[in-house]
Amino acid sequence: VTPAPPPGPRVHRPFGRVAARAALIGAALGLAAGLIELAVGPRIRDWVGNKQDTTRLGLATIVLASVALAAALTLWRRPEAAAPRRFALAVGLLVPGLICFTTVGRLWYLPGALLLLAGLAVLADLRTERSEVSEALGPHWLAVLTVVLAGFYVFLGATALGLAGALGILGGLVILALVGARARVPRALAAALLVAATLPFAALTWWSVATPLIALLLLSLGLAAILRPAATAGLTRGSLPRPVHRARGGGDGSRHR
Amino acid sequence: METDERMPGASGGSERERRGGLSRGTLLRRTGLGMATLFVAGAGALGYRAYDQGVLEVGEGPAYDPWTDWERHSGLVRLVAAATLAPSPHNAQAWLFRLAPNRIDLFADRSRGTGATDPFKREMYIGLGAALENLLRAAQANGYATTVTLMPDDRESAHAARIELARSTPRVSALYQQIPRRHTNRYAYVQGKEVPGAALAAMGALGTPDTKGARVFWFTRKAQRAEVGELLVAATEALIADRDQSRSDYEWFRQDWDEIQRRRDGITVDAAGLSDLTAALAKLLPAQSRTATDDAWLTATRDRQTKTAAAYAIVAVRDASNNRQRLAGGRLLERIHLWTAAHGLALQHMNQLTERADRELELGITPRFGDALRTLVPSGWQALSAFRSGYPTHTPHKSPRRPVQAVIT
Repeated sequence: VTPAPPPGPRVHRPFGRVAARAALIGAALGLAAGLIELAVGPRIRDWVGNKQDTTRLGLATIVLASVALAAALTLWRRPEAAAPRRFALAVGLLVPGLICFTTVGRLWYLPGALLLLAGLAVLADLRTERSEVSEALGPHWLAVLTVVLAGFYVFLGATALGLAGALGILGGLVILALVGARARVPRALAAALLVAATLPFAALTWWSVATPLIALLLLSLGLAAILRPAATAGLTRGSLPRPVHRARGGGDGSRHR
Repeated sequence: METDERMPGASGGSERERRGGLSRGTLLRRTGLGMATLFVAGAGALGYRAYDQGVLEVGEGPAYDPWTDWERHSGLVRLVAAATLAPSPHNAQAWLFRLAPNRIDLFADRSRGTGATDPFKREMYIGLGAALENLLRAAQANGYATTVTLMPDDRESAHAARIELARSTPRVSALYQQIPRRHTNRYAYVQGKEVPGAALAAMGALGTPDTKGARVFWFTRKAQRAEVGELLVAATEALIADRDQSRSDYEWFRQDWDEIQRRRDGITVDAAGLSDLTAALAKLLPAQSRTATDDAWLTATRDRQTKTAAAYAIVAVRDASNNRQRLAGGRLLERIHLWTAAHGLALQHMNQLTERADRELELGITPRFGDALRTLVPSGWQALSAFRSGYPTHTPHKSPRRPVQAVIT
């Protein structure tokens, strides 16, 4: 595999190849762990965290290990990828690496450790490129958090019963679509849709503690992400949509010229 | 020009940022987003815990399937499936069934005893009697005439009953229809709403020649309820002060969702009569210690269950140590429970008094609760089991059940 040409000045990445190798091995072992849980989980409960629902958790492990494998392969093929992309790849290793400790028990100890080490190594390599990562992610961070929360909604909706569960899945999907299309949806409509998608599931399962809390975060972060997309841009340099009108002057005395 | 179009602090950065520092606004925004990220991570962890502990799946999963699929079985297995929906002490389900073409034998599964809370297996046989009642109701409904022999083998005390079956016309009784609807209700009951005298009389009349020798005594007057309630609270205190009984009790308390789905027995948080919010919190938080569980049980007994009982009852027999009479008493108890389910009443088994009385006997200590029980029932009768009844404030949740395959030998 021919590595892609470096995007800019060469940055020292001491862990690059080692991290990619560890990630590949970890993800492959993780995939195998998921397949084993799916195939013979009930017969080796001690090894899969004594989980009852080995089918669902085996499938979840396979999906998450596949995400890690995709990240590992990309890391291997494109060691010189831009910093934001490598940050995303590190997340793609760390998130499955952490979650699967709870889905497949002891079988995850080795793959999980390898994925976590690889993810942390990628992050360590990124320490000199923090500003680049920050510039790329900063303007969209609230949207990213909203997408994550909407994912939780879909996940919890899938585990809930009857109407409440259906509303959770539907609400989460609506929010995901809303975040994706936030630039094209009128703000008032977007806000109304966000509220309508969030509240029913939380209201029907208010006693669960988890859904009301996620709903609260969805409303606060989601509204900020959808209604004030520019608000987050101030976080980073060069990330504000243009033009920015500050005709009356900001507190810092700057003016749009 | 390009740089000039950007906001200071946002693009080219303020003078301070250009010098390597951060403006206050940027610092605040970054801190805010960092906290938001932490909140989202925390919400994710909480959401996963909710999934892992089945917070949104109350009464679902394989442990609860027998409540809905019991009628899908055919032949004699269906009768066994009905029997497994009966109540049992600590939901231990200490029963085993052996099937032959026209016969079912019911055995006690002694490996599933409840230890120091039932030292003489009194409750185990009451539970077997309840299972037998369900089985016979199901047999009748599915076109079998039955001949029952209790304790058919004097040499084998685990052999609780032999049921001979012959084909006959199906007769579906009202009580049979309540088998999947009957659940122990540990919630508070409606205060001030008494159980009508006619209902008490109807339940008292549920005894038949099959259950002769077993009788129910009611305690409905305010003073009587207060007396029984105080005794129950005192017995609960004594139970949790007795380390062996407390441990035996705790062994059957299930707090982990995977364990519930795997073992399919025991008392669960969902069936403990807690509010939905409290139950969710109890499941989200780490498992409670034995002491904390004991305290919660005492609080529930004192502040909720005895305070709102509209009536107490004691099922009594002539000899509470006789397994045949225990089985008969268990049958009558289950019949009453099914009747309450059919008539909108709630029922909770409360065996603290008999558990303490047996423990006193086992240890040879002063029979405080044994004496108290003797004063509660008329001379010539012995208390076998107790319960409270009233009008429900909540619909009780199901208890887990083992599948029929696990109880057929």
